[in-house]
Amino acid sequence: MNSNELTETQPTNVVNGNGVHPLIRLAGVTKVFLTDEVETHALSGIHLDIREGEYISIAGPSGCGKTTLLSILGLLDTPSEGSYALKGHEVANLSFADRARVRNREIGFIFQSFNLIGDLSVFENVELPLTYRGMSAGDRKALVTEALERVGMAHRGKHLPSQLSGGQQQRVAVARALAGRPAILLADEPTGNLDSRNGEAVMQLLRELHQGGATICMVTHDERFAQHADRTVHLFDGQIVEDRMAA
Amino acid sequence: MQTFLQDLRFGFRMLRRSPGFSVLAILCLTLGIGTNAAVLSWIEGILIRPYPLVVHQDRMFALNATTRGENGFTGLAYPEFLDYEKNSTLFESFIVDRITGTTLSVGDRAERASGAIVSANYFDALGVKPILGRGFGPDEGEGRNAHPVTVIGYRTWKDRYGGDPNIIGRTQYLNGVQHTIIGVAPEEFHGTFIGYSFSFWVPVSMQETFDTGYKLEDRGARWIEGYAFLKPGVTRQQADAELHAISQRLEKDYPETNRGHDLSLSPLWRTPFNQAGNMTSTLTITMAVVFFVLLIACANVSNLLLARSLLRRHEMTMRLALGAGRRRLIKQLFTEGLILSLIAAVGGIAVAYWCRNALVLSFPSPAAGIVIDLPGRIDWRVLVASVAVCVGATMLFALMPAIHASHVDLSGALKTDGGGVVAGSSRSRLRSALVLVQVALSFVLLAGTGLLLQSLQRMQNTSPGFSTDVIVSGADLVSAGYNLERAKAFDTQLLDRVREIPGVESVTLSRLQPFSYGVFSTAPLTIDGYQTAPDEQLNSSYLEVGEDYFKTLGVPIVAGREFQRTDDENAVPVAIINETMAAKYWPRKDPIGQRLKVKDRWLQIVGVAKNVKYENKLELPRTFFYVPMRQNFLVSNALLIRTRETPGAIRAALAREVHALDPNLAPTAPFRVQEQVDRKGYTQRLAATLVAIFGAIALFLAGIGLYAVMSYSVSQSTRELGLRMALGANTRDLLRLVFLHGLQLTVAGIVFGGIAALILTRLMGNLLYKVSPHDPLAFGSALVVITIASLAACFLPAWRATRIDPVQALREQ
Repeated sequence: MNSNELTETQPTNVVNGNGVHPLIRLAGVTKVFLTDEVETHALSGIHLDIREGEYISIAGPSGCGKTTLLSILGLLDTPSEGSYALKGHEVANLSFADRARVRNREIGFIFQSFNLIGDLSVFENVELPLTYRGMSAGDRKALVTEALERVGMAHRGKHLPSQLSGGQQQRVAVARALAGRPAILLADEPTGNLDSRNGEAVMQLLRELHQGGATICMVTHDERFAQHADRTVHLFDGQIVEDRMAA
Repeated sequence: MQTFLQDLRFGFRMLRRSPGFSVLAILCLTLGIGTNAAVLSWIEGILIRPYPLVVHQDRMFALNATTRGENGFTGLAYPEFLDYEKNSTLFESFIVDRITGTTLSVGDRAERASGAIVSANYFDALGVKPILGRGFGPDEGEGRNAHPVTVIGYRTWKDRYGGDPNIIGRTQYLNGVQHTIIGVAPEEFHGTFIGYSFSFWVPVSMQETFDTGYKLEDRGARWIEGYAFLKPGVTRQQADAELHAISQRLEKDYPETNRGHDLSLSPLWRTPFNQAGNMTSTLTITMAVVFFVLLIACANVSNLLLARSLLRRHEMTMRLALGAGRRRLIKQLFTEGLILSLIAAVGGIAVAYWCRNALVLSFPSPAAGIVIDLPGRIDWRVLVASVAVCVGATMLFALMPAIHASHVDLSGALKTDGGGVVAGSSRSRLRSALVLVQVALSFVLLAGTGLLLQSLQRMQNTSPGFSTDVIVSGADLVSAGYNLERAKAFDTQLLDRVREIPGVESVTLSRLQPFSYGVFSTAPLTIDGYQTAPDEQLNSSYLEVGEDYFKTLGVPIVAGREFQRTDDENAVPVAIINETMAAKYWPRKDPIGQRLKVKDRWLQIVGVAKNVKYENKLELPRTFFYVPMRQNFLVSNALLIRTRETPGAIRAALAREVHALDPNLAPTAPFRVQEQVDRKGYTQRLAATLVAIFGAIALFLAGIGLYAVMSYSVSQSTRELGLRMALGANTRDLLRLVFLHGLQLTVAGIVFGGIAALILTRLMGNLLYKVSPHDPLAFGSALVVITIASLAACFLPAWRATRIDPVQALREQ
């Protein structure tokens, strides 16, 4: 499949959050790591659908495969077995370049450790994924300004990350994830490096984004934060042991 | 002391623990210190203390005779030399040391040998004691050809006489005269002429045997070169003042010959009559170049240490936390640096020892049997200077990283790393600055190399004004004992015979071949009708040449005529002047038919020849004239042949003709004038070779430096690169990122290097020939080469960047 098909034309089978076909469909996904002839099954037979507009949290104890699942969802890694359909298109076996393109246009990452680039200003950090799209400077500026305004950091555009608090840095990271209007936001322990007050603030921000229509998939080991999502999937030893909607 | 020993122990342990780092750092420093030690040893051995067995070299100065209105060294007449010796009070001694040559038969072949005509006090004044026999006695310097005695060189004694312990008293023919060997010079004594190792020395009384005419009583013949030793405590300024006062008295006493003459002292490294002048400018440039190489090496090692200091941040933090002061840390890191540079210094001195005779390789011997001697010298001064270079290098490369490493944010560093910011640039700024310096220095060296190579090429492509295809040969009539009449008959017949050899277009005789190492005749002049200024002394060099000389060498006669066979001793004495001489003395007149007086003889000007280069391609136009061989015949002449044949092809025919005239004679091996022209361009070739070699080393080191920084930068930016990949960067984006970073450093380095090169290349002016020190081609080539090298240095780190696993990279905290 050409990744352009995924990014430049909307597949007809994805209609909305309640549509028949999900935004993401994992079917029988397995991930095996081989180290020194030892096989480690990080994920085993994962079946998971994520619909557009859904807010899903993936919870579980440390080492249960949450981050591996998120990496596969984010096209940072490929499954050993099984299929992965994004917007109805199979993406599990794309080339390196195509995966980069899909990642850039369809997926927004929010990391536990923010991962802002110290040499770049807040504005430039948010702009970074857009520069890989070959977008004009004017278009980029509009999208970056909009994203920063959404997270309440527009007034800090010229600052360097080191001049911001942890909570502010995570807001900037969220703005970077949002700026390209991706199909889904993938958040990996987004409050892990924050104190409880800032953690709550970031969770509130994600909630607001979801209410604005964003699809969010969040990995967390903290039950309190997992409850912010509409749906929680529990992983244990690489398998889904529970998939329940919020009450 | 105990602390120092502890630091030493720890330093050695650190070196053992990271062998890759240690080897690379020591290699860089060995190249840096080694090249400096090698050039220091050349400067010491060739320029500063060139005569190892001579005592009191610090009081030894070259005699620099000058004439007002003339460029450069003009030599002394022997009577004049004696006047200075007799009338001075501040000098311990004066010595004559005039280079000369002869042909020695070695088995069934003949070889040229270089030697010197020296004053009788030569060996005593120098403090050099022959290992066998004796030096010259005071009486052996007097009388015309009265003392055919010689002291031979150690190498001649060994090679030619098999080290015969009973050599003293045996005889050796030198220029056809039987000389008695009275001494053998020590092995380490090669004479006092920088660049040559002499085979023999004869007393000044034998001058006529080795020169043209008897000159010991001629105040007009300025052939003396020599040295003087000051008395202890006398300064050069005081001595110069005394010599100047004597010069003024001589000018008053002998106005005809001494008008405008003066004598001063030159330090040995500026001796005007040997290779010192050429070597000084070449070695000065080379010293600057190797200093740049050292700076680049230091920047490299500094970068390596900076990178290592980051890896050792935890260790430094713990040491500080346990109570070590910053000074203590700096001392420890400085000691580690010192260990590196001391190991490199030992390696460097080994490199210098190995390279001490390397200069001779690029200095062609002018003829078989002539021994070139340009030895480097590793004595305590070179060792001290090398250690100083080593300590200086340590200061340069170790101090900054040590200070940098000692400034750890204790509270921050001891906390777990929870930062959300990826790879800030503050850490890498210093390393980038060091690479920038390396690139800038490399650019300067490459631009300098480009200038010298272009200069060399232009010099090779520029015509000296005569045909360099002409073949030089001849027969050594002096060694064969020919007198003037016999030589004249032989040469006349030989010319006739050679002219008939198929392929020969013309043939002539000349006392000296073009660009010869020999010395032109000089004499005071009187120009008929020319009004000299009160303090003007007319003097000019001239050459004795045969008929068809200008035709054979392809030098145009711009007015009048060429010499003819009829211009002999029975005809009116004539001369052909060059264009510069015509313009100087007959500016608005036709010089043809005018007269000039040389050695009490009026010569009528019959022609004006186009200016040519006489001794080397760099010389400025000067007055020069030619006299016909048949009116000034000499026994020793060069045969110049214009032919379509190669030297090899004509060799047999030449041998046949010479044998036909005298079965005991063989012609000297024929060669093209171009070979001699090339030999005379050795200084530029040597400079270009040295700068190119060291420039390549500098480029290599700078390339390693850039590679190390880019490689380190990529390894430190793994998380950032992983993040960029997560955000959608593809291979092209990552390659561009790394290459752009490398190119930014390169461009900044090129800008600084360009500015520095514009300033520094001006210092190379006297080594450049028809090339501007700011030549755009040289600068452009340097830019291209350094950009390609930078791209090559960036390639591997850039490729590695694209191989990063983003999942793994983002997991790294």
